[in-house]
Amino acid sequence: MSSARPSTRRLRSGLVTGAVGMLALTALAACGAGSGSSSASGPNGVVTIAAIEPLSGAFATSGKDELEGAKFAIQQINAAGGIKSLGGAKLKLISGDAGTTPAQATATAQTVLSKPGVSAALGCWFSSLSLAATAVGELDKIPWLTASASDQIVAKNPKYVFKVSSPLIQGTNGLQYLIQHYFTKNGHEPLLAIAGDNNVANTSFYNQYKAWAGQGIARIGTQKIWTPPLADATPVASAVVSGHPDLIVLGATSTSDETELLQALKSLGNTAPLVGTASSWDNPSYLQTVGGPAMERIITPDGLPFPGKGSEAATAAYQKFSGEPWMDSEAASAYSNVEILAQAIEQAKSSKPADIATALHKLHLVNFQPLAGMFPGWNDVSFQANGQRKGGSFVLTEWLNGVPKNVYPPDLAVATADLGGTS
Amino acid sequence: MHVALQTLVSSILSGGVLALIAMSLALVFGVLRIVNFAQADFMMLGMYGVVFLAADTHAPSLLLGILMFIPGVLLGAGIYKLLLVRRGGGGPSFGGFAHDQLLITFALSLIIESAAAMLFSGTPRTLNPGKAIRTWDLGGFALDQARVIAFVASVVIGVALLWYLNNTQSGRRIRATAADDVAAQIVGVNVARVRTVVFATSIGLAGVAGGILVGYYPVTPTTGANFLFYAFAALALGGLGNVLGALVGGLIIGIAQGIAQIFISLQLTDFVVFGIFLVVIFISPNGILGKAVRA
Repeated sequence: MSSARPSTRRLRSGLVTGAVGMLALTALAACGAGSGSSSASGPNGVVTIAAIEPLSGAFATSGKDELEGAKFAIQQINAAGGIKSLGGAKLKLISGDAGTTPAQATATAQTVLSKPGVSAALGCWFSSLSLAATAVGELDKIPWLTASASDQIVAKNPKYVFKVSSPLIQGTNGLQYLIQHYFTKNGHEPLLAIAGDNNVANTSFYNQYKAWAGQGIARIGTQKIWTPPLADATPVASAVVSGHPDLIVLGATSTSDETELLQALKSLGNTAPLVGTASSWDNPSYLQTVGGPAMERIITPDGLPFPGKGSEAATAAYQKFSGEPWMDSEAASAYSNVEILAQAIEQAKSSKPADIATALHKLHLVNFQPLAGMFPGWNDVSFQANGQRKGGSFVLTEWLNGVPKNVYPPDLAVATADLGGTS
Repeated sequence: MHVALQTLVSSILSGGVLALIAMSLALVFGVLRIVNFAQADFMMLGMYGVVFLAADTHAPSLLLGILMFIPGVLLGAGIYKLLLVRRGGGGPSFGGFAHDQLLITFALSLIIESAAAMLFSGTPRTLNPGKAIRTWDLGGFALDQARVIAFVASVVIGVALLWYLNNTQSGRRIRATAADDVAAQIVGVNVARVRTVVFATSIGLAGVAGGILVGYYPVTPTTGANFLFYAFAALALGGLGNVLGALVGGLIIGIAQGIAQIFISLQLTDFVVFGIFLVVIFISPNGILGKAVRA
């Protein structure tokens, strides 16, 4: 008995201490939740934006480019006085690693969005990751802007997800434009070879290409599809080259796979023109991996922005900010997303996620610079009820003299497309 | 036929480097019973080492790849002494190893990958791109020079390792320790030193494998993960801890990848490779070359 009393006392005192601790924590959490939901902007006039991007693994190059573009936009907006309707509130970026799998992207989104005071989110570049992670934004009612291409992201009519890239069909429209202007000879449809991974956006592209076979647009020859990463690109390149295509569509989305595939195609003496499907084909990292000459004349139809006429000052400032030789489409899309988001926050006059989402649905930006110089139709930015940006078109970027350049549409183009005498 | 042959040759050539990684795994498993999940990350570090040294020195990449043995050995010895030897002392008969070491090497793998991502970024790096795409044209049949050099170097190093194990005093000490460490200690073998040497050599070989691989394969912080499970499959296929078996297993895995890619589907490559692996292990649990565990 005598030994039981002290232990009972210890137990009771432990329980009391624990209960007090729990109460204190609950009170603190309540204060935190309260401050986030009641104030116009977060603590110290800060509006927090989360960027969930692939920062490790096969897609890290593209993820880091998006992050850099977002940081640049935030620096520009803050330097210009922040969100004026919130008394000059500054934007703050927090980031999380979406990794390489939808499960990782979801877990990171859950962790980052659960932090107090997050007003909006961006990411994840790779469509398969965005498809999974944006569902967390929808569930948590935090507006999420994505540059990913897959239309499935907005297929379920989300209220809090906004797809800034053009509808996926614009990517295939770009390829169709190329085929009809450069590769259709004497009325004969060209033979296409497809070499790419099975990312959700790419799979949609391939299905569209296959539909062309029955429409007299193009014939489909060799198709080599893999799950990234690619351990050895030679079998893919060998099969593709031996099919003697008029045009090779490159659907790799990991820069490592893209590098390997390019090297293998070169080593096998490929002479067929190369067309990319993913925005990553305009990435500066190719200067380090395969070199500018190996990239010459690779052309990419894209539903993402790429700097053209009118965005020179912004891209020069980006080069100074990031040290990168140019602003690629990943950086440009994240930059654009933050600019659009800042305008929505400005109009919402609030940092509350629900208010920002409402403002995004109502948003109508007319001739908003410098975005209007990056993408056709961006002089009139607004969203459909399902979050898909209205209108939209495609841009063509082509590597010319060691640098990717905007070659379409004509009003944004800074160079003329040169497909090596194929027209 | 042309495509099939091109694919098959490329796969066999790729199998060479895989065999070298598997042999490094076999060596360390044979003597220490360590399943080293970080092995392919040391390979990745070897790849980065060659990329940076080649940029600074312009020395031949193959020479730099072989030189990766030295930092690999030093790193391996340090890690063994600092992390692994403290968790049970080492060896199959001295207890305490298996579970701790699995976790330690797994943690090490994650730490190395994260550190590499921080230091080198996720952007792939290659050697001089011009070198990476030089080929020998054999009547319309393109033979990638970098792959051929990597294959020959891997096989030569693998054969040299086998010769060393079978024909030198220290090689015999390693084999004696692998066969029965208690008996080896009784007859005067310094088992603790043998273990340190083996682990260090194994990491050195992984560094060399990376140094050779980067001749044709771009490196990122997660490149090791692309090879690790194939290397483990090669190791088990040849017979766990059997160095010659690992060499054969690596080549078989390479050929299996080629066959899957030619006749089935790129997306089913892993299904075919690991399917073959399971069938072989089911028929011959100790792998193709028989006896269970020996260096």
